[in-house]
Amino acid sequence: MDLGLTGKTALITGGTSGIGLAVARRLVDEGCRVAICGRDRAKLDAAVAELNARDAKGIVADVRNPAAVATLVDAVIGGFGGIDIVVSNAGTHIAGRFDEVATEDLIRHFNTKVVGPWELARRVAPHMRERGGGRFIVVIGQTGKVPQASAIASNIVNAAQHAFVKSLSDELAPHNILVNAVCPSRIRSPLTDGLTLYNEVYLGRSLEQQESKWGAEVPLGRWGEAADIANAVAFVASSRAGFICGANIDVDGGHQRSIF
Amino acid sequence: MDLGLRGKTALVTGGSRGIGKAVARALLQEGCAVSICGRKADTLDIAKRELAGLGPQVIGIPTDITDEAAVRRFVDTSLETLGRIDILVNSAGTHLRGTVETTTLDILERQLRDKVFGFFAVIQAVLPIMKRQRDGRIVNIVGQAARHPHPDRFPSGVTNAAVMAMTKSIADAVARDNIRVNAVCPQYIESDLLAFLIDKEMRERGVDRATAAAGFTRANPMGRTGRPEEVGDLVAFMVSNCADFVTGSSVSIDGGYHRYVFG
Repeated sequence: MDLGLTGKTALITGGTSGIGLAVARRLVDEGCRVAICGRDRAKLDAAVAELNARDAKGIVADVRNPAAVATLVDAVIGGFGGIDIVVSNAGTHIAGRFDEVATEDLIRHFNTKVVGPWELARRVAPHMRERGGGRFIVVIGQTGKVPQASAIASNIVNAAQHAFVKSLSDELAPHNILVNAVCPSRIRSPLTDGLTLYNEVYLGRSLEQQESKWGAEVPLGRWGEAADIANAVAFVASSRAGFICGANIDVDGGHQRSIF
Repeated sequence: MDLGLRGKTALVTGGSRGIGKAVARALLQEGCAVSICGRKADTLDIAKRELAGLGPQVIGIPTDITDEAAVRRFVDTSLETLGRIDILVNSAGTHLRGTVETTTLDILERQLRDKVFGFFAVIQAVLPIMKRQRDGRIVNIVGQAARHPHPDRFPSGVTNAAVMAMTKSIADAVARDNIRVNAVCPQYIESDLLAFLIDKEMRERGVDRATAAAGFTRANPMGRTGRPEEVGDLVAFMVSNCADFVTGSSVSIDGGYHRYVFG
């Protein structure tokens, strides 16, 4: 399937490892020119080297800092002459129960995963509007839909990301800027390396499912790869997805429990 | 993106018109052999001729999916002709309007027979085949009335919500057999169904075509209707190797129409 991505330009935040880097690689394979951002220069340089694409750019930016986001967007527009696609992927996962997470950590988390993309959208939307459209895709960990035990901070912030995506999609749709989400869970990445899923074994499972160990890890019986997320992001970013707006795709091996 | 669909075989119910036909076209173009079914032999023939030559092979078998024996014939004949069944796309069925007061039991039953019992029968018929293959990909086309009830779309709302429950339940049940089951949820697609609904609005509300059509385009943030091919492309992605880790998911393709934050 020709995704029509050749020559498009994309900015991927949190693009130095795991899912973000896989998304960048996928978009490069489809013919995009990509810029990735991250907080650590050395990691960024290594990631850009790994991408091995002629004009891939690595830009140091902390998305929690609005001024840095503005500089980032200007740098990508200046470097590439425009931005067609933004993939907001920056952010981590905070473990801990209600009384184990410091308020400051929750705020920091919110700033990375909600205020960061908010500022990114504010900076990039006028530019995309002028160009006649664009794509804005947020990678939202599945704790946003399926609250995970001992991860209350991630559960709250990721759910807020969903509200952000749907509301922003309403505002930008008339300008042909399509905002959507891709929702990973059970993906092998540096983020999930040390993650224990033990507490989730019985979460919302029927007795039969518990006894059969169904869903002990993943309903499909295997873990996904970062490339699985990258494929979904590439499709949603593509010219083939021109009527998908304010939607999301679960890429989670069947983990989430809602029928919707 | 290489979807890895070359050489696969697909069944598409309701494949003679609208979204179903666009799905068949997309799969043929990706290299699948496709078997379509529809109620009317003549409509099916026209579709078959239109699709022929777009891909490796297309066959058409007149089938009323509310008839269990006919469904079995459709699946058996397709399997004999194509050799395997990798993909099933359930797109048959209609959209019946009415309020809780105007909907008779007959109307509700007809809608349920089409979309719940019909989808169920085809899925049940292909599952043993897909289990033997240790590979299968199923997509149900589910109208957004499932997520977004309207007082005047009562039969459709009830039925589509039931298909969502069925989709997720079957996805759970067959995940360990490496069979993926997902829903694709379109709304306001330029198909025969939408043309019919526009005619109906004109008749019932006494408005002209432009006004009736604008009622549909205004109803979503993008301000336009979608094209059947756009749904075909999404379905092709969902049944592809590129969506290997996607199951039990439902993806909206509605120009932003539905009002649910997590959908």
